[in-house]
Amino acid sequence: MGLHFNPADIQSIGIGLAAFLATVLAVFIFISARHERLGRPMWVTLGVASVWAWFGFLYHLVPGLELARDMRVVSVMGIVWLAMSQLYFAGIYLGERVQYGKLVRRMQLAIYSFGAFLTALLVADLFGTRLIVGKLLFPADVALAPMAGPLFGVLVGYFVVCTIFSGTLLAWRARAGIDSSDRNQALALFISMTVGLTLGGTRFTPWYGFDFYPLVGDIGFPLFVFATFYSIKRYHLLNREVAAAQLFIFTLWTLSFFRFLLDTSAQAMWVDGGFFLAALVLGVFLLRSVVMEAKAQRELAAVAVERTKSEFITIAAHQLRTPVAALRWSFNLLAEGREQLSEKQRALVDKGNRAADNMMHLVNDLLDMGHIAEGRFTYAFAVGDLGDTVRAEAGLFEDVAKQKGVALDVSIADNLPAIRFDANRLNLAIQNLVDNAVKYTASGGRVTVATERSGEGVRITVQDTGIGFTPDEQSRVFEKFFRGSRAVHMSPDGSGLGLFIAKTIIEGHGGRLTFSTEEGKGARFTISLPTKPPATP
Amino acid sequence: MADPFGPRILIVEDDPLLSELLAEKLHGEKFDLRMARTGEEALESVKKDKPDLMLLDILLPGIDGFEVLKRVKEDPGTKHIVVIILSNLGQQSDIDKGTQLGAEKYIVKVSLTLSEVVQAVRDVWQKHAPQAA
Repeated sequence: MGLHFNPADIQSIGIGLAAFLATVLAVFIFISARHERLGRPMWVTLGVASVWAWFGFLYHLVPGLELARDMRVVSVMGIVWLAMSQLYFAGIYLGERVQYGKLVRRMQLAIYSFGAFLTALLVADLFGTRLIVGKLLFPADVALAPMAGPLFGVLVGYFVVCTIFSGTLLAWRARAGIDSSDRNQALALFISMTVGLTLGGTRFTPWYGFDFYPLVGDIGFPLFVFATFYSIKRYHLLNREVAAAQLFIFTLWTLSFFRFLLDTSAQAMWVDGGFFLAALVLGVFLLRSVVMEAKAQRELAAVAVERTKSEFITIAAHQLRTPVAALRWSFNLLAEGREQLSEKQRALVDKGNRAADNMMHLVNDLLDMGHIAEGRFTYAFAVGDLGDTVRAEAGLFEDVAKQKGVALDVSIADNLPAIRFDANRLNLAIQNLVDNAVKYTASGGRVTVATERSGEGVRITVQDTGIGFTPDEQSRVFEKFFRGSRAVHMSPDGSGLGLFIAKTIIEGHGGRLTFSTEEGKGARFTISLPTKPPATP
Repeated sequence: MADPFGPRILIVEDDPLLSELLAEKLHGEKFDLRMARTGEEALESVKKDKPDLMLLDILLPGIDGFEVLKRVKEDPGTKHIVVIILSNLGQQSDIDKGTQLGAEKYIVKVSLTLSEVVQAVRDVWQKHAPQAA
């Protein structure tokens, strides 16, 4: 099988290389990242790209016009699927940052459905119709493509629509990036994928009898591959050890594969084919273990960094406790003698007092967070009167609520079961919830704290008519240090740790903390506690 | 000045500002006060001044508060002294340790206002005053 470098040969070499690259990348991503969010659309995309490329390659290799045309029909199916999976990838990538609406979902669905319809037409083409892929007039080592069928234009249109639509989603993702590096990365993916598909799309021209700058189309796939590599790197799936192993294995695969292809005797093909298969299987195992090793190393490093961070926080917060106590006590003493102060001085002392209180909460929150991270946030459970606890803790905010003009209602059911809980910890969780409810509810609003029996356990709800959370904020409510933009506006100081700590405490009791909210109308947090917390080690 | 019928309180605190603030506040409440800055000073004062009540910090130069507490409670001559731990160590394990060694109450300094500290001292003393009187 000698290769002569006419246009068909160049096309076959190009598409063969693409097939090889797409397959190895699909395999690599399948091994290393199929459980990651973007891993699946990536390996699916590369998988269908390899269907397109392998059958396009076979088109040039198989004997006979009929068989060659069939190969090309399957290859064209791969193009339809590639356009679809490109959109699938773009949708999931965008979903990382943006919760897009029903319209986009419906458009996606419409495009997938039309892709399925085109696939059905192509299957029919395999069985003799010539709707999309027409007749092949010349042998494939001469003809770059069969004739275009009457509906081939529809397929080209479909490819264009998919490219534009997925390009739009990628551009949207680039705009919605959280910082400049995130935006730039999304932009790089947008450019390389969209330009890659557009350039690759010029390879439709031979179907209509002329070849538009063949080289231009051939750049398309490498750009596409670049995008893939870029995503791999972006998701830190690539490190030096893995890359070296990959390069070694891929080279081995390429060499043995082409050796097999260029073999002239059946005996040599057996030997080289066997070698290629062995290299393929062993290579997959080797890659897997290298990837796993790299992952384990990365996780260890992340754990070490996390530990250093939390140790630092714990030490810093602890060191701050003494000066903060001194500050608070100084202001306490000053406030006691407030009658002797001028009005201006009194106002200053009150402000200082409040600032020192805030600082205390901040330092305590940081210390709790550090202890949580270090696994030193322990619980001492005992049977207690939960009703009294809730009443006392909510009662702490009565004065503040009154000053703000916020109504604070507390109701405790009579039939609460006896439950075991850590009073100190649970107090803190309830305080955090009531504090937020009062803090983020404007004058004239209402905060309701209700405690009632719920099956075997107890349910405590803290409901307010305050600012609530925007849809974007809702997924981040329990994140460490997260604060909603309106919350920051309303009350600039606050650690952003209160809800994180509250959730940790409730879960430490074997319970659940959930919420429902409507932006501008309020939020409702629900604590569900079992009668018995989990046994502590 | 000092109320002869009130308890004699030993404040063991190494931070000068904190001990000054405590002294200022408690003095105003008519308690009879003694001060110590280190564990060694505290033990010496326990022998010499025979306090009724002790506000004890844990992290001290030299012998730490837990050790001071242990020695005070081991000595039959001083074990009647009511000890309130006043520390910034707030871990449950620290609290448990203090209680096991015989402390009457464990207060995390930063979490209480000065008045709350005094109230806690009063409450504890009221519980023990008859024995000491």
